[in-house]
Amino acid sequence: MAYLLATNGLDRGQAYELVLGNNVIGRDADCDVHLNLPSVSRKHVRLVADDPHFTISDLDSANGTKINGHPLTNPVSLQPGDVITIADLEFSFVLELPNMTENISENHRTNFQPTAALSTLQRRSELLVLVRAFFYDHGFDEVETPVLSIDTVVDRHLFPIPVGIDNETYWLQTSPEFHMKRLLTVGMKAIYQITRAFRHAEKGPHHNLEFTILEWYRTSWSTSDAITFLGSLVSTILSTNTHQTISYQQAFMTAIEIDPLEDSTEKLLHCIAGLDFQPPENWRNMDRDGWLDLLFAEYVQPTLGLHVPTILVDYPLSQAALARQHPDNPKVADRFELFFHGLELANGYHELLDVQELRRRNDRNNRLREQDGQPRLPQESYLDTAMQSGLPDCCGVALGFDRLVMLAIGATDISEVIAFPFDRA
Amino acid sequence: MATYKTNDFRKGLRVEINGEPYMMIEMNFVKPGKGNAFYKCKLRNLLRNTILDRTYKGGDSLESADVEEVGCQYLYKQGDTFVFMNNVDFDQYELSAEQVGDYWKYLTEGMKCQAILWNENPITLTPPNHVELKVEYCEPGAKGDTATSVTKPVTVETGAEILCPAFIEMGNVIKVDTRTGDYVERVNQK
Repeated sequence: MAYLLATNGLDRGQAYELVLGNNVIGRDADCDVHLNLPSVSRKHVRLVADDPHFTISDLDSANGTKINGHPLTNPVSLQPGDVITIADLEFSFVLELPNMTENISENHRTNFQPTAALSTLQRRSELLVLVRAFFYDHGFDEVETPVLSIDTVVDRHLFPIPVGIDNETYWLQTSPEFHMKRLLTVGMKAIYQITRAFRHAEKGPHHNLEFTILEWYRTSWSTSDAITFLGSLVSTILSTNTHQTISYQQAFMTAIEIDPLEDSTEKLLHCIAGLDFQPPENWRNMDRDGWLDLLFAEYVQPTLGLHVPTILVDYPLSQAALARQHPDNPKVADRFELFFHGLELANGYHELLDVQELRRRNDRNNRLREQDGQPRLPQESYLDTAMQSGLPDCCGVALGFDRLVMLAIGATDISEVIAFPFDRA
Repeated sequence: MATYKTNDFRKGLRVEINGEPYMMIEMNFVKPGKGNAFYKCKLRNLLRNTILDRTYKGGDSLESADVEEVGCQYLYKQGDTFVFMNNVDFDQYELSAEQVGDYWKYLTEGMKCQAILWNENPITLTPPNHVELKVEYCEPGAKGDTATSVTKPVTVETGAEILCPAFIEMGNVIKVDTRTGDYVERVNQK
């Protein structure tokens, strides 16, 4: 059969196979050959394939069609090798595809290269050495656990990526939490790993779908031990002054005079409506945590860690994830996060040990996911079994290693510190 | 009409909001690790050239706008109306002074540009990044004033005033950047 081979522009090298009969080419998504460019008309040109006869006619397009440089006014018969110009795109009409290695598209010509400077990749390598030395000095064992797992975390706002293997659904991990807790349950005491995690639908200046996560656990640690260790790790690696600690509640009070734990829903709504920013149109349909996230992202986070790494403690219990309830304050979770220069760097828990509570939180998350139009996630897991058989009291922290590199070199976009971001993966 | 979900959001997307066409010129994804995802966007109104700041949350969507760019040339001005002709089918498009905006400064007869059609109606145009304009009038520069840091306003053939280095004289042709309105260089004439 015949093909249209793009010979200019970003799609250079791309081949479009023609079908027998009618081939409509245009900007409409339902065209047989879909060219999504503003200069192309919705239905631009028609190619009728009645092998070996091929006839082409312009569909009254705005920017016109040319065959071998001549404007196409009446239908003409195509010969192999004819050059078809659709608006500003050039195609070669061919019956057989040329050797593709000679036709690498223009996109691939530049996109095979890394987005990070070579000096950054070297710096990244040094930081990995420093991090490993820090954990070695503090008596941690480095562990390696599967990236692909039969289990997944059940979280309302995380979108794990399913992988089908032999009629079974596996998941690319969103963090190595489950496996590491299984190792603690059988007796390991202080463990860390540097591995890859995957979170669908996360892309932006601070997000890449696949990212490097540094995660560690230690048994018999108090929350304040874990906070001190985190602060000391980050200030050592980044050579900064010691961290400071502030509560989630205090950070809101300072930034926008809102008490996230005590203020009524009415007061919260009134406050959002009165602030000088553009919340999502249907923001009133979100829940309390949604409103807090919105205010946090807009007003609180940008003020955190401007001078020294800042650790936010005592998150609302509704945002506990897998942290335990705070033993001294039932309204908050034993959860903390580190921010530096407004960037969220690490998230830590005094871990939840109560398996009944884990099941209640999974139920709630799946209910909320369904409400959001997202699929339910499997709740049965080896974590559940590990917790039943006795996960020891422990703290755990996960840190975004790519963001640590960003802070070390002063990057503003994550692609500056990753060799091949997802769009070049 | 197609719908874009938040996951499709990117710079350059043409969308329709409250019945008007916009182009997404900035998109920033913000998400607390364990919380709601938000998309902070800047959108340019293609009718009025105003900028809209909008935040969307994960799962929101926007309607696509049927925006088309058509190659054409500028013909003439009639009262407050600018008349253009499609290079291919010779259709004529009319744009008001408001729709043309500041671009009137660069329009010379026969100049090639892109007309922007929304639902098949012309709404504005995009001139080439650089245009060459003849200087119709300017004050003579002081003798020996060759430094490019000294500028003076000159009137070009379209009637617009452009700030130029002092050495530019009447009859010169200058190159102007239409994105900034700045003088680029004097064009050597054969």
